[in-house]
Amino acid sequence: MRILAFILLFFSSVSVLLAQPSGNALREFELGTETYREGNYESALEHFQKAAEQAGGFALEYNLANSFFKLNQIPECILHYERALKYEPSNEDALYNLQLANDLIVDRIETLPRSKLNRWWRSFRFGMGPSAWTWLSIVFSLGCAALFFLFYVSNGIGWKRFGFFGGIIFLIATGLTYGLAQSAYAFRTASKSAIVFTDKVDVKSEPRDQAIQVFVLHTGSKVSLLGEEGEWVEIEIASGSRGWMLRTDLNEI
Amino acid sequence: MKKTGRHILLCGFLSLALGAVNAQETRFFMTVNKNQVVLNDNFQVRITFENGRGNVEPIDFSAFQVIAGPNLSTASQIIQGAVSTNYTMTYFLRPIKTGKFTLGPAKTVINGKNYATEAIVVEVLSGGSTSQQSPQSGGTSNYTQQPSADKNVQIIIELSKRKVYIGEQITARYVLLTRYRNLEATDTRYPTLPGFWSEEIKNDQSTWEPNLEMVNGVAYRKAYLKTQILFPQRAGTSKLEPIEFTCRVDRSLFNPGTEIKVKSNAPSIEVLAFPTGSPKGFDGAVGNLNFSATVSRTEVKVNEAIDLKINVSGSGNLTLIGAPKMEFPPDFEVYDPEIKDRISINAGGVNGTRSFQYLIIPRYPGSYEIPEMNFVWFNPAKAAYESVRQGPYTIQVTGEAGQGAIAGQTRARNKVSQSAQDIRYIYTDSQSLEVKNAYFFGSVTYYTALGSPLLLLMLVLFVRRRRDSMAQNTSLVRRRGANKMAKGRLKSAKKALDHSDDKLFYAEVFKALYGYLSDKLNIPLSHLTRPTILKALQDQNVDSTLSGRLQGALDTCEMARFAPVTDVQSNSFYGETVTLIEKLESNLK
Repeated sequence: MRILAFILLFFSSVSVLLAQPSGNALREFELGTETYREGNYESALEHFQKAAEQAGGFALEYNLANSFFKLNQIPECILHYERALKYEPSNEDALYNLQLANDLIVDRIETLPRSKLNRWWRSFRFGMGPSAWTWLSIVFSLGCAALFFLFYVSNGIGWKRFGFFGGIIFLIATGLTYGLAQSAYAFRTASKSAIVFTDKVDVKSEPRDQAIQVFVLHTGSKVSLLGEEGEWVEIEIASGSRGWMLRTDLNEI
Repeated sequence: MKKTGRHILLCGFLSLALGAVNAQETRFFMTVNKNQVVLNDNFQVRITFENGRGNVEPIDFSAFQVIAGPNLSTASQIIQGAVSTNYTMTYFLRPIKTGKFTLGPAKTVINGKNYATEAIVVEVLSGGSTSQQSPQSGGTSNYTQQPSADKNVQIIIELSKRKVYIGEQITARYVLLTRYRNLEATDTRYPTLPGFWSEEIKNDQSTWEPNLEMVNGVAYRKAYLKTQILFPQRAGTSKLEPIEFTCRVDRSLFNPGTEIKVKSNAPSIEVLAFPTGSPKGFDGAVGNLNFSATVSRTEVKVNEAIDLKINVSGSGNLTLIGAPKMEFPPDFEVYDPEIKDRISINAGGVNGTRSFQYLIIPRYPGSYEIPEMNFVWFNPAKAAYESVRQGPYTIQVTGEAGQGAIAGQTRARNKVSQSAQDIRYIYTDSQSLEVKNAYFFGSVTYYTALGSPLLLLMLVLFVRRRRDSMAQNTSLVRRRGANKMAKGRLKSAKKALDHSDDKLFYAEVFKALYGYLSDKLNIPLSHLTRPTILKALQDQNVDSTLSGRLQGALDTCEMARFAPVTDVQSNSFYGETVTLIEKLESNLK
């Protein structure tokens, strides 16, 4: 009886999590795609932004980025492509468009090309999003419990062996999928990098105004976030140079 | 004065050389050794006859004082049988007042023909200002003078035209004039020509021109440093930069000479834009041009080659003309045109023919047309556009596709090339939308779902084990209690056994068994007999072997009262009785 209650509680909470975004967001999204098709990018952008108030996802971020690109707002465009890539890190279209957008900014950003294996691994790890790994870990956990139960209950030596080793394998798989779910969740939610939104930013050696200027960044450049100190953040650029700049000059991805 | 004399000799020698070149020609000319004179300085005027002699009309020397002259000198030379004579009258003059004065022109009649020299302007400067006409001035002051002011070396940019259309050719000649006998060019900086396309005329070595150049009556040696054909590329007035020329003069074994730097003039060119309304097909060809085209054959078999030859000839910017745009039928395989130039570049400009030769191979039979070609150019002489049309050519192709020498060879295909870059299109599937920031991972439900199966398993296993152990424990306690109880009942029997009192031992065992059965079966001792015991045991479903064993034990006790038994038997009997009571205890309720 207790078990049944558990299962009921479990599925009821899961059904809440599986809920679709509101119809309003869906409608705005569709209006956005329609106006984009007609070439009315301002209106498309407005609709996508309304949809983004309630919903998320790769397609929405990608479409937002496209609209910004068409309106020649390159830093916003790059920000949203980067956000879209958090949903699908190896999406060819987003990577291609991002490259075109990066060609339009002042600072040349040298990104090392990733190997095929690395790209595959990234899309395997992060491409399905955290929820897929979450579900898999639950399935493995259930399977593991069932197999150990079989091990205890059964009399035949074959069944016992099957239950024991199967249970061990499923226990390991549960741990692995939990780890993957956690890393995918961190990849999706934590912001480790940001886009510069100010036309010209003097990057300082220390977190104060009078510090020595180390280098200059321009709008649209991508920086990694290392640490923070009040309203200052420590950043690193692709070449490895580090410095401090004001948080207000950045938008986190 | 010694120096001056030397120069007179030099001039004489030059005159001789001139005479030698133009042996048969009669010439009459007047020269001065300098045309800027300082007051109180002398200069010479020479009137020279070559290959002829006449009387000179008196020249007006009123502004000068004639110091000496006319001194007469005659020279003659025979070169390859041709005799040339040279007769010179020299006046030595001294200016009286400053100002500009014109000498001549001197006039004469030689063999009934009138000759006149050019007039010479002589400028007289106030004394001591400069001594520019250095080599003949008698002093050594030329070594200290300003190099750029030296009139004895001059660089001039000569342009054939000053007002041209875009693309019209201009001949630019860089001329060196000098009066020094010994001149070494050390450095020449030609101007860069922004806004012009230039073609250089090949000239291995600059040489002195055979004739002396007379500039305002002063004879200069002349050399063309370089000749270029310029094609202006954009409209507007552009000024050419001057040439910077550095040379060393009068260098000899004992004299390092003098370095002189000269800058040329900087002429400007007015470039006119093309007249508006240029016809279609105009692609910047300028000049006096002509256009022709020929097709080698008009009837061919499949895979046989056709030559299409397009010629642009004439004078103009031929080297800048590109292949005309052609639209061939798509079933023709056309190779890039071969460009052949027969173009000569000389002082007269760029002339010749540029030809484009197309190799065309029809791959399929049929009747095709090479469309009409229209070549348009601008003729600056007429200030108008001109054009020539050629074609169209109809080509009959016979035979079958795939036949012929190159059968089986695949056609060259066009690569799809991306002409412009744009971002890729948006995603239109709204099903991929997610609820914002709703993550199952990390929620309490997730951890519950993840942990509950294993916790549940542990719980189940724990409950099972507990129940098992409890069941085991009750039987153990009962067994242990029965054993204790049996030993307690047999306590006095054990004491008797320890004292080896066999009789007492068996009596005690008997008493203990009866006492136990009485307690257990709830039968008072007075009613306890063998039959009642058996009946009670049967009622409680105690199996017959156990009751048989009980009967046997009771029998043994009764027998031992009368017959003696050994210690060993007594000991084992004690153990048997203990287990017997334990067994009974677990079987009876």
